[in-house]
Amino acid sequence: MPDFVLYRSFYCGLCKSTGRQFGQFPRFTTNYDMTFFSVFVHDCMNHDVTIKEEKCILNPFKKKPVASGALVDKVAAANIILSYYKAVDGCYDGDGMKMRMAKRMLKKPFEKAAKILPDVEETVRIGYAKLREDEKNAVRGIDRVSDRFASILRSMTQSFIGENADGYKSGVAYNIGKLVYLMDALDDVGEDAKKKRYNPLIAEYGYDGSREKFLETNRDELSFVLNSAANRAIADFNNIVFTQSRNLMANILYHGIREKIKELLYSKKKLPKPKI
Amino acid sequence: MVNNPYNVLDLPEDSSEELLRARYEELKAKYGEQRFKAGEEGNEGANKLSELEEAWKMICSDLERKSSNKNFGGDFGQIDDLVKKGKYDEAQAMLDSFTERGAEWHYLQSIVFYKRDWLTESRKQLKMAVELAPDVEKYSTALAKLEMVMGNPETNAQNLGRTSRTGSFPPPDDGGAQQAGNCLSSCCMAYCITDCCCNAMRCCG
Repeated sequence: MPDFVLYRSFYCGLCKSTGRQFGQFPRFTTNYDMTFFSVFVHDCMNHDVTIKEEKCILNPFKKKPVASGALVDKVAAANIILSYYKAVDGCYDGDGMKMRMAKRMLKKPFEKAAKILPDVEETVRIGYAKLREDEKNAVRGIDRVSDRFASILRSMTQSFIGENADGYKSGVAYNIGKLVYLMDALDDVGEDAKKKRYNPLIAEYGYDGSREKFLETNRDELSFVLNSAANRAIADFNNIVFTQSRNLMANILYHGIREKIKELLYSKKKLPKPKI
Repeated sequence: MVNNPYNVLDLPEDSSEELLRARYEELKAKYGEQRFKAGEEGNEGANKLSELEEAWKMICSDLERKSSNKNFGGDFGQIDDLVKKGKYDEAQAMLDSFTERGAEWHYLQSIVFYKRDWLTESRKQLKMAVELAPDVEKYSTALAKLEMVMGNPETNAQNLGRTSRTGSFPPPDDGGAQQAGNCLSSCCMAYCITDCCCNAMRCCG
């Protein structure tokens, strides 16, 4: 099965599992970051998935391969927890209707997911509380602020893979978490500036009036910030022996992420959501 | 001129900082009030206050010196050792207690940050080290490697992290620097970077 199809089958698996466990609405929380996490933990634990052709809510006419299994279900629960706290955090920022609605609709699924993964719930709750503190105090220091979310991902990974965890796997989780947080921040920099919301990049570098100007002024710095995290993840990744999906993950880390970083550094506006 | 500052406070030299400080505050309040009295008493109060402040300054320097000696005798080698053992919290605590922060301090701080994956902070520290001591090659080399390798989107991904930690890397060219200096430059930053990449040439060329 070609890499991209395998990747998408994990994505679809996450979506389907979410729908089955938590209802139709929360399926919107499915994303490729958690898909990578899913592939990663499956390989670390050497857990297999069952791949079946199924119909998709967005593609009702053609069946697509979908990966399923107990670990996929766990990842789906973890994603609900993350998405819920993200919405809660967004509500603090006064993100308006969208976040408030998301929070309301995710409340019951969250409560169910929290029962399935109480450790993860605690990790994410405490991590976001610390993040909240940092934001309230307008803390400066890219590494310092992104450490919060990076640590959430690292703890979550350790919680999933248990005794399989080691320095390299934790390192991959930490740096990917950091990247996700910072790439989101970069994507949101224009909107956050307009709505006067906290943004770690604005706190560190200031904002010159337009996204274009911000990027132009700070591109070299931002390139270092993002690429150093990506390269750190790659360095740790290269030291792990994978048996299932190494090529797929290598492709994402070596090429996919780097291209996304490049795209972000030159984008004139917020990037569109990736198509399935 | 104060000869023995501890006599001014009427406390033995090995008193705790808390006790010394409490006595200082007490006397400061007393003489502070006294100096506003008329005539001789007022003058005496002012003199005593002045003497007290001088003594306190001397005691503070003394306390600082004692605390530095107690912690590490001014030896950066201990921090290097802690870093090698993976005890980053302790290394950081030691770094934090240094009051004098020269180029070498920033270099060590950059290593501790690097080990924690705080690469942006690490780079900031290296830049400070270079600024403070632009002629010391190991700082500028480390900074260049950090930017050329870890900060570079074109770095050969396959080679990152692959070097074994005992692998060879260019020995430091300090020309007879002390043990500690050699140890640091050959074991810490150079190996941090080269452990991520075989050598700059192959990865970026």
